[in-house]
Amino acid sequence: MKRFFLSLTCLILVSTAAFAGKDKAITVDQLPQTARQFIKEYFAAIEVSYAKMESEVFDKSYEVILVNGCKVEFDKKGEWTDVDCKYSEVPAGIVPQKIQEFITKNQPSAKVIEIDRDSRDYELKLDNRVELKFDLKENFMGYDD
Amino acid sequence: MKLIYRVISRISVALLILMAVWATAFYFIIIDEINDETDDTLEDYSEHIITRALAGEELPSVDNGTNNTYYICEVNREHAIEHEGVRYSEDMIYIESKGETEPARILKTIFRDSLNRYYELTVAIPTIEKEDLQETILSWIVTLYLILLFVIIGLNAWILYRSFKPMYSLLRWLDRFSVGKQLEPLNNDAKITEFRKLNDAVLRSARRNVEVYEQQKVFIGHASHEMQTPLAICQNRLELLVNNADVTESQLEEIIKIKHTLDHIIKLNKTLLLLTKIENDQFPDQKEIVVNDLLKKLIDDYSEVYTYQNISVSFIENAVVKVRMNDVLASVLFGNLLKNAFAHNHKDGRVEVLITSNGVEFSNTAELGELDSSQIFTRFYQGAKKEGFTGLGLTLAASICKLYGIGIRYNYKEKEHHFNLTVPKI
Repeated sequence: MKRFFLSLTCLILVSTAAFAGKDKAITVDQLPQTARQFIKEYFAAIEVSYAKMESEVFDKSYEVILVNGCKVEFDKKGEWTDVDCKYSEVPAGIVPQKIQEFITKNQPSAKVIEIDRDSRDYELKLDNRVELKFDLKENFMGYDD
Repeated sequence: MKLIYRVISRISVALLILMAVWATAFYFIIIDEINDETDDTLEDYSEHIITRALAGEELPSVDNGTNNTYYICEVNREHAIEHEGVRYSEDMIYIESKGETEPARILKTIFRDSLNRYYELTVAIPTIEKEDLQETILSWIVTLYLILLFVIIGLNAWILYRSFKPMYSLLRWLDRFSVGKQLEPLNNDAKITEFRKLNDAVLRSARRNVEVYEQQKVFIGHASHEMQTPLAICQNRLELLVNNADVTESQLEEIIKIKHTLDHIIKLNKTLLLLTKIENDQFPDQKEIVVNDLLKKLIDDYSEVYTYQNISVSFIENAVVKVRMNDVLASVLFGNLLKNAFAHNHKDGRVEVLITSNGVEFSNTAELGELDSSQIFTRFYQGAKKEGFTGLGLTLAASICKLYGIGIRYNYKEKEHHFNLTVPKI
């Protein structure tokens, strides 16, 4: 009985420690192929400042900081989930066609500084502090406050 | 130990262990989460500074009043490669805004700029607040733990007590129940199937016991009664036979032996009949009897009968004891005890009858050893078989005592039998 409780406690402690997520520095070569391809394509001239991998129990994610201050995040397959260029501009081509068209039409003078996608939607931040939301089929869903 | 206390104590022990484990686990999980959150904050802070630094933006002021501190220094390539990535540590740091050194959680990140220079960024968050938080969490967990424990134990006790009510009422009924007495109605409306079954079973068995007991009593009564006449006839016939001139000497001897045995049987039968009558409550008329007078008369009689034993008798009257009972039964009771005192005595022995305000004590020097006090009042118990005794004398005495609520107790000390009668006050 007591041993059972003891092992239960250990299990809980171990699992929470695992949940806490561990950051680990990696080199560019350790990134998934797709992620390396993405960086080469859109940030050709820019070097990587540092990259790290965050492991959780069932998931892994990668984060790359580039020397120009941009931050790119990838999921475990190497697909990008977030491109954050707060101090410059998200390189052309990353923002999907339909969304780009919508922005050019409605916010002609604004630059996209961050784009984030997940399993539900796209979220974009413009340098004029406007935030936009699009569904996965790139249809405009609304402004975000 | 009552069932309810046993259950509660077991639940308490189980809960104590379970809750202790739970509280410990909960505490560590929370603390871990706090550490994790602190690290996340550090990471965000560090990333914010790095991206700004890399983008060439103005860095936030070091002294921003939040106690969070950071500094960037350039490091050489070797150091950077050796300490690549991120490092967490706990250390003392100097907080400029406060001018104090305080414990802090520190994150060091190595990064590179476009000119291939390596930098190390150190960010730190003081852990003082974290310690406060930990203390608060700990104290609240302990409080919650105690409250829960008491509430659960209290609830359990209450629920168990409520649930077991029918059982306790059944037990109380059983305590009151005794064979030979009128069966009380069992008012126990249990809604629980198990308790209802238990009630039924107990009631059925009690009824059966009473029934069997009654039958037995009636049977013994009838048997003794029916035997009276044939026994008397036998006795008469034997007497006739003795007076017959044709009987030879040796035949006469045999006849006398038979007569002795028959006398014993008749005595036994009479006693049994008396017992049955007492138990059937067939001596309804009572009157006040002065025990002192009765005993004085009985002692005179028995001293005379047993003069050949040369027994010294002392009769001490410290009080006058009166008792309300049937006069026949009173003489049977005191007579029996007194007779025992004389009969189960050795030559030149001693009999003492002591009357106090509580009752009467009969003491006599013992002929044989101690009697078995657990068996002494049951039928046909005799320490050692003795000619002329039925083994029913004390049973008879006990039945009479029971009928009138007189306490009877036997003990043996210093080679003497002591019979104590506790007479209820009237």
